Amino acid sequence: MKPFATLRQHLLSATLLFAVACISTTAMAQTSYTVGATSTGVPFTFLDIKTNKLQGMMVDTVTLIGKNAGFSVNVQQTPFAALIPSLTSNKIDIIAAAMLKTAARAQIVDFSDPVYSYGEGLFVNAEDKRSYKTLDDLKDEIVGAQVGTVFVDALNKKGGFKEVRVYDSVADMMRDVALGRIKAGFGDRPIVAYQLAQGANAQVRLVKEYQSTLMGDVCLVVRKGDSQLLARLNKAIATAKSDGSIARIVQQWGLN
Amino acid sequence: MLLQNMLDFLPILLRGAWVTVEVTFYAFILSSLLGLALALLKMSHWRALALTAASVINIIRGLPIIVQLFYIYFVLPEFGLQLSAFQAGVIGLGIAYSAYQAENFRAGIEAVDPGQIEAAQSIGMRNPMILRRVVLPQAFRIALPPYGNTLVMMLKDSSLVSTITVLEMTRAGQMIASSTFQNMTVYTMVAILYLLLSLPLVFVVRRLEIRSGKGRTK
Repeated sequence: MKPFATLRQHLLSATLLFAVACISTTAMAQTSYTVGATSTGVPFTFLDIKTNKLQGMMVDTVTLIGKNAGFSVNVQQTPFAALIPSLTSNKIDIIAAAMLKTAARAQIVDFSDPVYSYGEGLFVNAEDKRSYKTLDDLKDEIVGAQVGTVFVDALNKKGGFKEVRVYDSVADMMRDVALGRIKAGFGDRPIVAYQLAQGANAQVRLVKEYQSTLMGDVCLVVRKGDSQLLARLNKAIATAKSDGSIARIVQQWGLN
Repeated sequence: MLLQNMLDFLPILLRGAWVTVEVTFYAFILSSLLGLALALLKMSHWRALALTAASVINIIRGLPIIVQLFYIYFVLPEFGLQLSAFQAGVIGLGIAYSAYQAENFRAGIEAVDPGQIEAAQSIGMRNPMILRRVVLPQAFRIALPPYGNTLVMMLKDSSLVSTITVLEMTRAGQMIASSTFQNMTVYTMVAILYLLLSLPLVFVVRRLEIRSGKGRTK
């Protein structure tokens, strides 16, 4: 089986052409920014099945901040672990999600002034009546945390657990706690509290007496060195804080 | 209540299903073209070309599809190549599957009796014409079953593009599940929709196989 040199070349150039034709660049106007938000972060950012759009506390916040700063936002669903890569590779311009400010993240991206603060929440199986006050109460147990969150690192650094499992979403983690596959799960406290209050999973309970150790600030996030946008955001955040409009959003989503 | 939920979820899932179909369709065409090119290159009498094609196929086969997708979507922009999530998904899936397609095609082409090619040459056919009229029609028949299976596998693997933010059916299901907590309803619907898409394909491929099988016995 030999020959066919010319046909081969035709096929090759055709495929190359096709690949090149698929490539295009996106232009960005200053009056509109693309915002990345997770679609699984109830109540900060999640899908409204009636309108098929993302809604939630952070969606409202970034829309408000944008209005104050004079730009419109185009909110795009992005898995949590893909948020920062999407930002650094120019797929999105702003992250509006329940993303806490950390030193490690601040090396890669820039954070705005905080819009909200919270720490980690602990949940266990509803049948588990033990009292958990600190992480030490979970020594030698299997625990879970959401991929890409600060809790994964913190738990691994703390050590002493039998295993730290990493989940895509809090809902998956709750399912495994309910099924007894893991002893306890860690998630953003307001998210966990809100979801359980909404009846997310009746076989799981929030451990009320647990003391958060990783208090953090939720900020809007922009590309490293995007100082112009950062200044616009910070100015708008200051306005929204002083006139109480952020507080109203927090109140509206039951996060206070 | 259940019915109302399902009616609420269905349009969102169907929109996702359409994206799933689109991704699969374009990626399948791309993988077929690339696969055919790789197969022909690998069979080249020019050793360097054959070796290059073989290495490309091995590299592609040795990498998880999800890693290829991340690479195309998140790493290539650093070299100035900006692709939308949909484009990156199609190209990533297309490239990842081209290696398997190449093997399908090569097996088909090599199964054609070399005597037929010599016969065609002896009556003065040129190479492109031999490929078009003698080799590929028969190779297609032989490669059809694995080719069809590849399409079904691709339909299912298209859910991988959800990791690079493409809102296809699996992702749509995940979004609904996490905002409504109706895991069982949502994922059952997603599973049924996938079956509705893949089972007809399985049957069509089966029919084609039977038909081309009949053709051969003549």
